Amino acid sequence: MIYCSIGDESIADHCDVNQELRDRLPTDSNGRPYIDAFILTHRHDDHLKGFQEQFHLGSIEEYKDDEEELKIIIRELWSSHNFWKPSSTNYELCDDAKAFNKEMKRRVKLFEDNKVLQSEGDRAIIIGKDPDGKTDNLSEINYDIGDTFTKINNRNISSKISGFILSPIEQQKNEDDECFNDKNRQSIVIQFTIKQGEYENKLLMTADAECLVWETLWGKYKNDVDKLKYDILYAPHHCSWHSLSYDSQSEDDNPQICEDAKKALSQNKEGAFIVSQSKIIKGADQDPPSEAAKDEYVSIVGEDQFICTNEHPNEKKPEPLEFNLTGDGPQEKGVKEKSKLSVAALASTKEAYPHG
Amino acid sequence: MDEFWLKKAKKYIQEHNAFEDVSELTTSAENITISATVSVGLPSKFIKAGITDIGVKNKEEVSFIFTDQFPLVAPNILLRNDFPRCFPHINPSEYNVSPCIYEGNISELLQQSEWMNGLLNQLVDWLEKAASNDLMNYEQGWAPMRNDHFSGYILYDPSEVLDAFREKNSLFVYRKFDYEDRNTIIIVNSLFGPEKRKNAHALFVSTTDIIATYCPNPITNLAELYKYAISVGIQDLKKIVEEIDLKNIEENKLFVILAVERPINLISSNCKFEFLNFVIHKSEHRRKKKRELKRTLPECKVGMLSHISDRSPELLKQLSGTKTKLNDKKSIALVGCGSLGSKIGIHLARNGNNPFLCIDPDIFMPHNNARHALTLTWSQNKAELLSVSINSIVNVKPRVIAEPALKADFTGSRIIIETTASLSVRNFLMSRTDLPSIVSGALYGKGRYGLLLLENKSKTTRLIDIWANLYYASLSNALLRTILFFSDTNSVQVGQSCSSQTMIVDDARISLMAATMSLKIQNVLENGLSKNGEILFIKYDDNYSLTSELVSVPEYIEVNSIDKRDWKVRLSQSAHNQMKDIMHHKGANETGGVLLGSVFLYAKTVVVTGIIPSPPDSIEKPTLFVLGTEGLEKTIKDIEKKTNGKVTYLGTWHSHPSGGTASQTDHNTYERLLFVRNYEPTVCLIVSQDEIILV
Repeated sequence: MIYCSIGDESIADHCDVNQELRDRLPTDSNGRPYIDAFILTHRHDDHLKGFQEQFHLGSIEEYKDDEEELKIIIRELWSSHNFWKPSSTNYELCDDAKAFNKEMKRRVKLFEDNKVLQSEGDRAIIIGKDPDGKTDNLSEINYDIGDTFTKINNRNISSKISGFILSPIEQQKNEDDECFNDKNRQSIVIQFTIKQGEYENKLLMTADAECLVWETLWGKYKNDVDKLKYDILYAPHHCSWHSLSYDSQSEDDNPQICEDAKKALSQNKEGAFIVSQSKIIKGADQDPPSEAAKDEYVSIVGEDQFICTNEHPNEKKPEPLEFNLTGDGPQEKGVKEKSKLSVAALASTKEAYPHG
Repeated sequence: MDEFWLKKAKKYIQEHNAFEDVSELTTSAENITISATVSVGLPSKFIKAGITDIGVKNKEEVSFIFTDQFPLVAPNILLRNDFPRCFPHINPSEYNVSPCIYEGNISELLQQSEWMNGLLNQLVDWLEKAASNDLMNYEQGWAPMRNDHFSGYILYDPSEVLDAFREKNSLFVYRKFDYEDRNTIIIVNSLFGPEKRKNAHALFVSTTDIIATYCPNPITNLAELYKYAISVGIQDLKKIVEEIDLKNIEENKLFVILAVERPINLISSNCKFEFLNFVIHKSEHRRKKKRELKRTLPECKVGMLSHISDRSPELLKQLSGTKTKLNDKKSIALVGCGSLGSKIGIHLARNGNNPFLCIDPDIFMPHNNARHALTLTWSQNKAELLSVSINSIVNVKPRVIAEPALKADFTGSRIIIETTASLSVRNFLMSRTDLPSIVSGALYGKGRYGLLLLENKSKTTRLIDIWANLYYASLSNALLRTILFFSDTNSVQVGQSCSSQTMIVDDARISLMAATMSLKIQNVLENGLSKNGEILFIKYDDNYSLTSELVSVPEYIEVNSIDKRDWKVRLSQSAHNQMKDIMHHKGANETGGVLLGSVFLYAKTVVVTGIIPSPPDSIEKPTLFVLGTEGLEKTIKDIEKKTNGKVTYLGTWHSHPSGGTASQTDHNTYERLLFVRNYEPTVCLIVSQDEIILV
């Protein structure tokens, strides 16, 4: 799991994210739902909404098996070194982010205390070197930017999966501290390679990284574009204009695309998809998502291969978007229609019906 | 046909996001068709072309063929005639491709709350898997070769064939096979009535390499079979087939079975070999100049047969979901093949347990039909009849002893299951210490109660101890007394001159008890007996259910006498602990009391199960204990009355707190007690800190 946003709104009008997730989760021998790894890209509310509500935090011994809805166990928790950074006026954290940091600290401390790799449910992986040296003695649970990993939940599955960590890249010349420390700027960007037979399915998970990151990555890898190749690209920052441009759409008369940033995001393989995890894209007055950004992405992969999650399969009733990673590249799966009776039942709960 | 349902079905197809261009209802004499186009997500490599390398399109035409039984029966789903047929999970059909979209019956799927959406979702999923060439689900197992031209059934044991390949160190095995020809369907090997038997031979041929390509059965004649054999690495099939043909020239059929090794186990199987079964319809018998001409010509028709597993312990184990231990050479001895024993025996056999030893001296009489597991019966010995039925279930013939168990040899048995309700059989079993572990079951109180007694693993707690323990427990348990000591048999007239001592109870109630007992015995057969002896109490409740309780029996020890006597004395650990507690309580003074327990005459065994504290007029001194008499007679009478005399005064015990052997006084008391008791079995025990002495 790369991130989650599980709200508590009424579900009659939109997708029940929690239920859809739980329908797909495996359960362990104790019947507890689990995920092998949770990689939090950065600490914005829309990337960890529902974290405290849905996931088990603390040691496994404290797991409650009698809850109506069982909490999801995270076997291995991944985060940038920013989990050590406390909430402050200039760096405000939502409650879920605070809970996430606390859990991350608990897990990392176990490793610091015992100097042995923690067991499932206590394991943690830190991405990036801490500037104050806190990661110096944690090499066993720490990856640097530019590293390739083949282990997930401490299982080496290099024949199946590997991940190349592209960002958060180091502070650039002329980049001020405020910009560098911005939560989006600190997003973890990973290119996953998932092998199926002879085919390498490439997924570029971009989180909320913006123009500077993409422009810099192009500079870094333009002679090694394999590092930026993708079969599926997650349109950065929910299809934000600012991932492709330094200019403001509302304030600049003729906002320009940053060509290098676009090149970094244009390393598509044949038949590749770009997915915008965003609200419905229409009109240029909102950003993200931005219709102008969408146009740029459509120019890369074509209209049919650009999918907005909240418009899938249609605007009225969004459903989960799933890909089957096959030996011939990703295959978009059809949407399973639900029982019309349960849909009707849910719909009936939307308002009160007076009876005479 | 009901328009309502058809319109509803059409609406579901129209509203499903993967379907478009839904046609109007097209009516013919027998059915109604709705056609539609399905959008199929293709892997990214094929999106531009709109078709996969195997030939699945991004828009596939599909027809739903409804009969008048819809919606109780699902529509037949057909794809275009030129849809690629090289996938598994396609139903046999000669025209149009019929995808097998669901593991079970799709009419059952239609009855779920998703209704038509269940089918439509499965169809989309199936097409997506075809597009990504994932229909062979390696986690599920290898899908067997599809047979579009079904010719009949063939029965044999695949594992036995594989063993034969290994034993003979050959890739060819050839043997006699019988069959019945029912015009279009061939039934091979014991699936048919014996009177219709025709002779033939079967040739089993194994591949040497693992064959990982799936292909549906394309074979309709012998030339095609030879070609297919060569494609899976079997080069010599033609030569061998012709040799066998000439050796058995009178036979009209020849069965050829190819054992093809696959990369993974077949679906729902633990075997990697897929057996492809063919029947060759040999050509006319001809001679030329008195020389036999071969009848296996390339144009001979070849049909494909479906394999059916023969009944076997493995099959029954698999179906019952038990962990039955197979290949145990030692038998399960069923002592008693009456109503309870036959039902337990059949339950165990249906789990694949074997071999059995059936013991019963009785003849099955008409009145036995009221309660028994067997149905096709006649007046033959019950053990023999049960063995026929067990053999017909598990395919392993039980050994039979059509005599009383009293003379049986149990050396080849691993367990004895006794259900005779015969006291003499019980006494015989209790008298023998050299027998395998015994489980003894019986019904009481007109079938309201059942008792299953189980010896322990090490056979240190024996049936005799369990019975003594039950008798002693009944002292404080009125229900147990009712169960054990009140006769519930009736004399039932079963003919003008015969009557039978039996219990009036109906078959269903015995079945309930037998089923529960069988579950416990199955557990024992899988995991062994417990560390302690056990008693399973079963009670039939008025609400048509059973309640049961499993009680652990305390350990018993055998007390050795100084001089070897005929009688054995066994002592319950709990009675011994009680004596030691009293001894410690009395400090330096000797103390003692009365021993209670049961006497088993035939087994020449006395089992001490409890004690009565010393009466108040007893004398307790450091070197002397005199057992008083106050109130003792009444207490003993009450105990005997309550237990039908099964629990009685066996003798005395007294303590030697500082140790030491029996004194002259002790010997004199023992002699006096023997005399008073008219030399009936009598026990005098001396209990000290570390030992128990039998005077």
